[in-house]
Amino acid sequence: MNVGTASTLVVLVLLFPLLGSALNGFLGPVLGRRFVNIAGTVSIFAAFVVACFVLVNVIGAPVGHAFITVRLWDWIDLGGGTNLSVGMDFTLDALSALMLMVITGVGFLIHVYSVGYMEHDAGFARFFSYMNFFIFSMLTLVLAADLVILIIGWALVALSSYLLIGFWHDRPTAVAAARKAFITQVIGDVALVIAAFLIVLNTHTLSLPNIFARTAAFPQGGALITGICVLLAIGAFAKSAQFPLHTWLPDAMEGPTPVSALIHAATMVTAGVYLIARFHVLFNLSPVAEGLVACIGMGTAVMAGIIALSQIDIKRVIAYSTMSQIGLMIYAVGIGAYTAGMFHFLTHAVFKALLFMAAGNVIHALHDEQDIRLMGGLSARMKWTHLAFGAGSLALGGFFLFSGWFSKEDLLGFGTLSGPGPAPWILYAVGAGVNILTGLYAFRLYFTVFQGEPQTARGFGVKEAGNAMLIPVVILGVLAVVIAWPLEFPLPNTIHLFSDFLGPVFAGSQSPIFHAPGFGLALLALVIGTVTSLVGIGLAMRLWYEHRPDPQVVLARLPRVLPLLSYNKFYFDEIYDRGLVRPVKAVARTARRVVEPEVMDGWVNGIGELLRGFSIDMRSVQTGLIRDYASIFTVFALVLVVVWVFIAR
Amino acid sequence: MNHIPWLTLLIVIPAGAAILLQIVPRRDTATIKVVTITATAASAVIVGLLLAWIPGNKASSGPLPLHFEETHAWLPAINATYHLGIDGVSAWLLALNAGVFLLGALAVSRKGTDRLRFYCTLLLITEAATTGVLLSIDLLLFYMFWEGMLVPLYVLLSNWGGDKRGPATLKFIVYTVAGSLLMLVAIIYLYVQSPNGSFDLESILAQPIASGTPFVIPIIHLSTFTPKELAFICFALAFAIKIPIVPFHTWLPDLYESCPPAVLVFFAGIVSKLGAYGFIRFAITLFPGEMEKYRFVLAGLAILSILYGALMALSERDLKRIVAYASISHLGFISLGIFSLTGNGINGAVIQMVNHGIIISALFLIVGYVEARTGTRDLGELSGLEKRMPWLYFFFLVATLASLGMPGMNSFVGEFAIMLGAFQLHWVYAVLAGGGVVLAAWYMLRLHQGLMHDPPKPRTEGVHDLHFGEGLLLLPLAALMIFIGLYPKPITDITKGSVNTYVSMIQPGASNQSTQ
Repeated sequence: MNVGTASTLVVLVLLFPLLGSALNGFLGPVLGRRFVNIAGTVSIFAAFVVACFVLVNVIGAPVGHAFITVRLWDWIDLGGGTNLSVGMDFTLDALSALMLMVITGVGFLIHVYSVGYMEHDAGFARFFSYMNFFIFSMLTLVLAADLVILIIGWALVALSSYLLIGFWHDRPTAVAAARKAFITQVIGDVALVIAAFLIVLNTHTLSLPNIFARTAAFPQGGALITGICVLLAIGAFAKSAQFPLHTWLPDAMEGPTPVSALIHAATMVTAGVYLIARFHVLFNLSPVAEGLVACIGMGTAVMAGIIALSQIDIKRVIAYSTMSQIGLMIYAVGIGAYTAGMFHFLTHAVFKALLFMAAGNVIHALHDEQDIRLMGGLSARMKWTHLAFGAGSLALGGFFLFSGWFSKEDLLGFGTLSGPGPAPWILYAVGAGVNILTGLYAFRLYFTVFQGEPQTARGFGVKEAGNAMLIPVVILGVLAVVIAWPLEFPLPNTIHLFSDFLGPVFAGSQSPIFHAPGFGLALLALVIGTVTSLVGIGLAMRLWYEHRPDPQVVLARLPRVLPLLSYNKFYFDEIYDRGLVRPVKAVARTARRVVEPEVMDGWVNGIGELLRGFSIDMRSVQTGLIRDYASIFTVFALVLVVVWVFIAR
Repeated sequence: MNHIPWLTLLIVIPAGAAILLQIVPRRDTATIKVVTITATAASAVIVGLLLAWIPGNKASSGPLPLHFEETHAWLPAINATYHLGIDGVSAWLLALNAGVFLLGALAVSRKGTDRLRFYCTLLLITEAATTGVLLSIDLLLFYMFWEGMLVPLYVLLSNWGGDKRGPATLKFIVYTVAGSLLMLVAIIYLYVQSPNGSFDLESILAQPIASGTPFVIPIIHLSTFTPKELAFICFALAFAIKIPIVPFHTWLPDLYESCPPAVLVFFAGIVSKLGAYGFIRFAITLFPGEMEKYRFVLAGLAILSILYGALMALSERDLKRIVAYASISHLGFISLGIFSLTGNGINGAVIQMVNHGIIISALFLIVGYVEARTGTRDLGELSGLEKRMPWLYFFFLVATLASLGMPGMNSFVGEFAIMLGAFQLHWVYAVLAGGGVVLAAWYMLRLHQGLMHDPPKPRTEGVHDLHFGEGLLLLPLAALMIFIGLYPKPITDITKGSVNTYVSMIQPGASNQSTQ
């Protein structure tokens, strides 16, 4: 692959979605639904074709040459050194090729699905314009070879997410959710920007290859590199909905379901994982930051898993499951198991997009009902959707030989030795707990929605979704089963096509806390992982399918605080509202009501008042009486004499 | 072509057109519009040509590398000269200046107004004065234009202003004149102190003025300011009021509130930038030591402006006042960049001045359109305009994103460079400015979503979308917001040389450290 080919590919893959977005946005309302359906999907398919070329080129490149950076134009040049100098740089390597494939591939299927999903919505042109724009933004993010360009993609992604969450803009809840998501993202952006400052002032460059080549500027494990990595991680946490910046993701479910599938499951929310993987060279220098990332990832996985157990909105359950799975990915890249993290990203993109779209079919069939307590018994009436959802749930739950099993057990296996002291074992035990939780909430959802009896009259009248919504779901359903088979097996020295492909990207530097387990230990971990997943799924079956015991009975035996915490999402929304939002609003109100009139205007008016008062006082001296003038004259004459004689002499 | 006095032409064209307008019959609005638009467009074309020529033009060899210099004796008795020139910084501000006046002329021509001839005359005189401010190298000449621009603005505001125009204009005039008079004192001080008694910036810079001995308060023997420091403070006050920096800002929201949108386009577009320009052109060059000494305090005030303006924008309900306080917050960013005294910061400030001019013009045009259609500026009475006005929604979205510093849009370029400069000053400033960025997202989305989303209210039922002409005014602004965001290099290629000169005045040799 030479520079010419690479820049052509980069331009094309970016141009198609952008063009689609512009055409749909400006001409769509005029040219009508057929045009929008074609322009919206074909543009992404074209990008997918280009992505395939990229993949072929990257695979076919000779060893050591699978990395190429192209500059489209100079963005800014203030002279280099600590003065900014940034180019519109894009990179093609195995990591970006993988991201391209997932974004355009899964993205294309979701676009096809959207044709069916948005069939009756008046804003179809706007919808496809935003969706295409999202693909463009996401591609910019993963192709960027300069930190500034990456930040641009990073923020454009947040913008498309904002536009799509608030797509139904006459719903106040959707509007509020969009704003919340955007502001959280801006917090992450600011963290990234400040990380960029630290990097440019120490390495004198913002170009990613150059940063990674100049790590000599950062002492291993020093405060500087830890600061940079923590800031990068904050950016990643905001995007990937990790604690403590996670509260926007469940609210983001206000958007149309294809949006949840594309942005809030498959691609955008995994950008944080990508970012850490991309910056692995820096993270490898800071074990402290790595440990922090791993712990937060695992912590979020547990927290989100617990919350998912009690939510009653079908999309929110899946959203919390996404948060939990991304927590696992973040954990993986935190301990330095980058290929394992990216592998889980790949399988998760497939089965989570599938789950969302299948859930979309259910919601559509029930006329926008999202409460799972009012569903049930849909398996007979929505056969294909049911099968696909079942496959997705098995993949999510980590059932033996489903795609999620390969990637999840793979990354948990790497956790057995990575880290100091007993930390890996503690984290591994927690990870096994997450396995149980995952099986529980995944199959609670499955059994409640598809098994048992319909809970409302509407449940008897449902019809299977149309072809546009069914075919993508079925394709993903098949993929959710088989995609991992040829790629990777979670044991060393077996199948490892995926890590051979992606490995060279991370070969340059090694994380100090990462240790790959041997065959025996990996096998043990695999068995434990498989068994815990089965335990979770089995428990869910007993509780929500056989009702032996009934979940209500179990709930009644638990201490009250647990279900309360879970149902109220650990009260994070309330804490942020009381601790952050309201105080800022109160300060703002005080500024307007008190500070502005009393202080800011006060001191200016004060000067005016002072002068006016002085002139009024002076006026009273002008009495017109000779004796007043004479006495003032005498007093001042005396003062003058005193000054002259005693001080000025 | 170098024998043509291009810079003088830039002042003469609008001034001459203003005179020409007086012989056009008052009722012949078509001719009045043609003359006004032609004059402003001609200025814009000339500025465009000058910008294109600057890279190939050889700069003068004085202390300030200037282009297209013109020097003539003006008042020989006191050695005041008619000395004009531009450099990379003022060139872009001139472009902004020409742009916003052209926009102002177009806006008023489209909509029309009562007493159009009088209005256009004042607009053209204002343009001549602000152009003069940007071109003058001689301090007395600068002061003359600086004060001169207040007169047409005052007349404009007191004739076409809204309900509260009386107190608002009075406050504005008293505030700024107080600042300017202090500056006049300082200018006279510099004139007296300069060895050869000159008002010309370049000849004052040629032989630096000693800072003198600090005043000592008798009895307690406390050393206070040196005379030069006092002069610096006078200059700084004048510029800080004009920008304005908190706590000298209270004239601005009241004034913007009572100012008609067509005037705001050029008032908010250029006048506030002149204060920032003054800091770069005069405060840094004449008082490099003082700037360096007070940079932490000044940057602190800039941060105060950013955060205070943002908080006020968050709690106001009047559309114009929200934009006005947002503007104060953005001007805080510009000031922060200048006070960082780094190449990144000052370059960023210049970019951001251009950006702010573009964004604020667009925002005030949009607010004007909304007010004209719904009859209110109260955020509480407005909502759900997106359905009725998809085109306005699109332009407002672009302007909102640009305003909140969206990466990929123009403000991001400026704010990124400014915050980097602030980081070089001290990391705390960059972090606090980052807080301002988060607040900006909050208050801009509150404004944008409040207007555009949720179900419509009585006031917003049945409004119609933008007319073609209205959209045409917003289109170039929106295009620039995106273009500068994607390709800011043309701006900085022209500014960076001049900015390096300014930075090296403060830290000699600092600009040469830029090695890979």
